[in-house]
Amino acid sequence: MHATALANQSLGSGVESAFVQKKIREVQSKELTSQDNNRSTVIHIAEATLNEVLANNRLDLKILASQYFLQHVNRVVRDQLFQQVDWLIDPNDWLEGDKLVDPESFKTLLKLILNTRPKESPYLSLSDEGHIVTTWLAPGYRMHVECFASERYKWFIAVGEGQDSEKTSGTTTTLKRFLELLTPYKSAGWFNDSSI
Amino acid sequence: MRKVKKHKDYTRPPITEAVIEIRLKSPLKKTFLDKLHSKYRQTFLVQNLFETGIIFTQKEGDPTPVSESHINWLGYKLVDKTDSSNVLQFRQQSFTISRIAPYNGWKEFLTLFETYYSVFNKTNLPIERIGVRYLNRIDIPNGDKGVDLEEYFEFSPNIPEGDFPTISKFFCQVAARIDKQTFITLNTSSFDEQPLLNHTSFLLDLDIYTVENIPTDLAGLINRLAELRVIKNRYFENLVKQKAKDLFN
Repeated sequence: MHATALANQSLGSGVESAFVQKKIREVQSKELTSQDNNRSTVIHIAEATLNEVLANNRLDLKILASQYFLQHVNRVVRDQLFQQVDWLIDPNDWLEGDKLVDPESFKTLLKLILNTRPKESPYLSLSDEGHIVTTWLAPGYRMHVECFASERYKWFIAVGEGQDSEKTSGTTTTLKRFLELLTPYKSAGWFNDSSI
Repeated sequence: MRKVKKHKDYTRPPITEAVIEIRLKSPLKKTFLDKLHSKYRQTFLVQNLFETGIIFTQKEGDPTPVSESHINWLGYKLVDKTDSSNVLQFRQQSFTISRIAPYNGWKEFLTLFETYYSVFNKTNLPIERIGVRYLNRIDIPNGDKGVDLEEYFEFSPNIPEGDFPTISKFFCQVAARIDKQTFITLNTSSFDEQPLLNHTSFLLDLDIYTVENIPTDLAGLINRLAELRVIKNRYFENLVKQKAKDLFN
């Protein structure tokens, strides 16, 4: 098939339409002559202010979340997460040298939320490297999870208060394994019962 | 294509993005788009859209091609600051509105379209093409044996029975003429990334468009878009089997 035989579609803006565009390019790239290699579309921000850069980061993350969640995550949790994103990437609190949120780290968080259906969104903070760090609180329980790209989770859990509290931590490289490791903490009630 | 009953709206539609696109026959002036940029920059985050590319040229007898990069400004992309699921593209020759999930229904989507398109093409310039496109992500629980596409969809990659390995990925685009003036582009695909554990996700992407006898007045245009959406729904219903519908019903 010649590259130009592929259909010229209505333009989308989201993750899936970008995925389709990428797939079509992959098909086309197998057919293209060097003279035709002239198709990429990118978005730039010309002379972006800090406010614009931060707003872009916020909106990119929200679009990502909306498309990951689809109909599976309720709007209350979605809206709470968006509030956390606004709070996290706030131009009034932004310091020189702060890193933007790494979208790959954020995807790892989205997968956690999507697959556990928490009753509430976790609290968010940001590591020096731009990784999302979440905090989950419940009476007698505290959990911090740092999210890295490709479903890698670094976690710390404290059960009980003060010096007698029991602490455990670890790193896992798949969500499935991470959820298995959380099974003993089911009574914390962070997630819906059906997920853990 | 077999006939189907009119469906009721789904309670949890698997729509990741709904799109209406209007392409004009001639480009708008950049100064006009700049005015729109100024008008909406308080309520939307505005990004510039560029097309970039590399042109390779190779003279006869010259073993090394010479590359030259170029960049063209296309227009503006606007993301609603209060609801990031509403995304507009004001391009020199096209207007696009996208509703990213969660989708709240055609009525609300059309109201958004009316609001911004009437500003973009306020003089009813001639239109070259209109399209209604819906991208769906359908998440199917996968058992020990994986997902049998034929149980869920009226499409699947056609491979020889018997001696052929299990498909791990596919992408298929079909383009067809529905009638004299209406066309469909259908993309079906597996995803490289699976957001839900123990599920396999599939893309069902329908773009219905027309390039002839397009009204320029807003009321006529809206009627035409509604017709395209009805066609889109018909094909969606025909492409998706009940077992898949049960997942978002």
